[in-house]
Amino acid sequence: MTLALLPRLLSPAESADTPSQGGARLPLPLALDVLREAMARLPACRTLTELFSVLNHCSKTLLPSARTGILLRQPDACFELAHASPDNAEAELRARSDALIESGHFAQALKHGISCHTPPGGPTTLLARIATARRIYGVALWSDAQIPAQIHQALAALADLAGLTLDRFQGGADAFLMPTYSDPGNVNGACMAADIAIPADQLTGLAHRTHFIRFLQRALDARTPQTGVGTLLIDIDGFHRVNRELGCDTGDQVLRNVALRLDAALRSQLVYDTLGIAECDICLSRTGADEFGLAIAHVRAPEQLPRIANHLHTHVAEGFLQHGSRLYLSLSIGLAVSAPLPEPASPQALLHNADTALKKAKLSGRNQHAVYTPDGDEAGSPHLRTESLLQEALRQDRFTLHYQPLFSLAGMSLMGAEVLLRLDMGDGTPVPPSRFIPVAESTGQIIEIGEWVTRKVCHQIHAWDAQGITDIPLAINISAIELSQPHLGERFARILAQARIPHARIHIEITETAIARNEAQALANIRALRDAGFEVWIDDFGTGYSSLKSVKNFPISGIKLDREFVKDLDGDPAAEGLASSILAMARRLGYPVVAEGIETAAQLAFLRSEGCASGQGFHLGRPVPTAVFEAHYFGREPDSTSESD
Amino acid sequence: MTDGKEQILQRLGELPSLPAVYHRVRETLEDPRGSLENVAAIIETDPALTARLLRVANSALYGLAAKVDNVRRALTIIGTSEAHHLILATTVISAFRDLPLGAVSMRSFWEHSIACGIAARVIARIGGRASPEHAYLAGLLHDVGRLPLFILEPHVMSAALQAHRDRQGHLQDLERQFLGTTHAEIGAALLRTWHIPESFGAAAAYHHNPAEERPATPETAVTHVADLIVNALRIGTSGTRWTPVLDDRAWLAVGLETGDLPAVVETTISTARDVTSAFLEP
Repeated sequence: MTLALLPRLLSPAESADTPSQGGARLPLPLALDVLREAMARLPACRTLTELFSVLNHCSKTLLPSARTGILLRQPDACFELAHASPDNAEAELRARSDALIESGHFAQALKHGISCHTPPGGPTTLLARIATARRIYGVALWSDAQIPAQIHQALAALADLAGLTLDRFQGGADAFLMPTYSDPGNVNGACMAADIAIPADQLTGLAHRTHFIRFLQRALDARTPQTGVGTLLIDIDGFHRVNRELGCDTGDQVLRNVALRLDAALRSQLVYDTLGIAECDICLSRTGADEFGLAIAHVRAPEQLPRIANHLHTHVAEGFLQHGSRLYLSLSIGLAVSAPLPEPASPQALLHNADTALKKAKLSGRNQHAVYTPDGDEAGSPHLRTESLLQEALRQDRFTLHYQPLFSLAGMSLMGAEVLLRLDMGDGTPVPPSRFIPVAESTGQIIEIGEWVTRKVCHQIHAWDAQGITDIPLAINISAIELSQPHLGERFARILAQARIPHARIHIEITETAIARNEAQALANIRALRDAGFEVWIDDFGTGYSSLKSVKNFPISGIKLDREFVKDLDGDPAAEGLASSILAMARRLGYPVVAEGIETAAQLAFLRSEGCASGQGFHLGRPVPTAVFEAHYFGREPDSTSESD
Repeated sequence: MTDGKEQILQRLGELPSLPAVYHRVRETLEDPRGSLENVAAIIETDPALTARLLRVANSALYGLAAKVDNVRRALTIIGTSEAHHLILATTVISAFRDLPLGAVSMRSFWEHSIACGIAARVIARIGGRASPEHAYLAGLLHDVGRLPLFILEPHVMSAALQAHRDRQGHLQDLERQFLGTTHAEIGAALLRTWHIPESFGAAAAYHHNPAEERPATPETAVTHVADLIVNALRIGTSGTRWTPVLDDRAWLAVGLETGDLPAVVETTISTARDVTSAFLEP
């Protein structure tokens, strides 16, 4: 804070109550000392309480016996007494300020910056406006038997300093508005306004998203060619699991702790020095359910932002003490830096970039940070935008189902079909499942998508039944996320009940990797599904974590032999040995086997000779849209009536 | 709430204890026949402690002219009393370093504590009223009572921190309100169970209200001022967000002039980062 920012110290003529400007009245040396101290201490204030305590201390030095009051402007434009010193003077100061508002002295102070009033026989009251060029925050009030004219200027300057401090508060001008001394007689009036004014998130106490965006806007406005604005979006990896597995109360507690911890980690000299910023340049807010936004203004060293991300990782990585046990969480962080000054920038664009980087961090395995780069946005746009695309696709019904036929190898008759999910970008470009499924899993959207698939399949079964087509079971793939959800069986049963489809019509395929994610829950789900009459097959058998364990421990209906064991069945003895052994083992255990990925006649011949009951693969039939499937396997002409996929 | 303190004191046993190697070192140092040679041999039985201790000895804290790579030499150069404090600081921090806390990270906590120790040391050296090495340890351990509170009462402390961030009062007052005790009381008790000399316990007990200490000691006054400076500088945090209120008598007792403050601040900032990483980084 420099003297140049203090108009009143340089041009005292602006003060309305100093008519005799001819003889320059020098401030007391004491007053200069007090102001110097205030200048040193005020910028460090972060809360109103700290600010009040500094003002109080400074006023006391100048006017030891004065009563001091600070009135702040509330959102309804009323002035409310926010601080009274000594404490017991509150009622008196309130009455005094009401009287001064009535008499017009208050208005005078607001207009001219300062106003002094000595009623006959009463104490002197000095009012000074707390304001900056930008905004009027409130009025400071001093009341004493007499207030020497020499210190009027000093008190007014103190009020100016307070105004500048308020300007620089975290979250800006509105952050300081808070419920103050409330009038007990007026419960729903004044207090309501104050309540609305608190910009903080109820749970974490951090600033709200709207506030965050305002802070970003101001930070962008304040850019110089040397300083930029940094934005970090910080997401707790897999937080929905905390809520689900430990309950929402624990989830809330954890969120609160993460918020406090991030905040404490950021309020550190180390961070300020690294980025070349001051404390008030940081705004941490809760921008989503388990997402925090960090805006940093006046960043001189944007290349250091990744270090801040690392710093945050470190503070969270040590884990949290929760109900006596340790809970480990990780963060994914997306960073974006505003363009240098001449370039335009908006909070929305900056947030979008940070979000893009956040997705990149999530996709590359979480617990890491990624910095936004413009080329990354364009080159990677199909998959980086996948998350919002998925939402859109669900809403606009842009997913489609393809069906891959499954044949009995002995008689080559159609035994069923595997249902496969397809998505295109909206312009016909297909998005491979390997790209959108992980995103859908990471965001939890997979559950909604899974339900959509199930409903759609039920619909298809009805359509085929209505056309009198042979009934074949349709196999649906279930993701790891769905398999670790409680009540999976009930959800399936509910959907099928609504559609009035017998459970035997749908087979469910799960991978061993999905089981491993939460074995206990997976086992419970498999049992429930089997009890409800669904067939549950192990997909990609042989490639997961615990092949033999899954066939031993889980009540499954059969296994689907992974293509890995099929692809070399063209004379490779090792591959043949493995395939025969797996088939023999399955036979002994009584599990039927479907071979996947049959691509050649030789593979088909070998599997058939080894007694494999059924199979699928490009050699037998590719996954195709509904209409094509009907045409190929039900002997129907693809026409407009079969667009019912 | 009056038995809040008792309840926590009874559970201090649930905290990590100081490793046996510390107690053996102390016995040896207190034994008139013991030598730094023996101490070094004891320390070297613990390779992790040895490595950590050498890193701290070589950090900016001691400002040694040349890099020291064996424990005996390090101990000889810094002297018996410093050696004792160095070993105590290293074992305490190592014992707690890898424990998860709740709303405050262990790292922030030690950043604050270490910086406070450094500030106290600088203040003692410039002010000339307290022994720098005593002041250092007093500063380092002043908030140690927060660890039992965070570990044993995580939810209550989270609530207290939340109230503190909502500007409802100083954290130590909220601790009193929520728990019926404060980190100052618990810290003093914890140091007593560790058999740390009483003067360090007193500094922990009175660092927020040095005026109540009888008789007033320069270590407590220095710790009070150092805590204030480090909180104002925001180097780490033990939970509090407010700068404590300066006690005038403590300020007079430390023997600093206002003009000395820039030097204290500068040395603290420039030393803290290096020393913190020596204590904490893997």
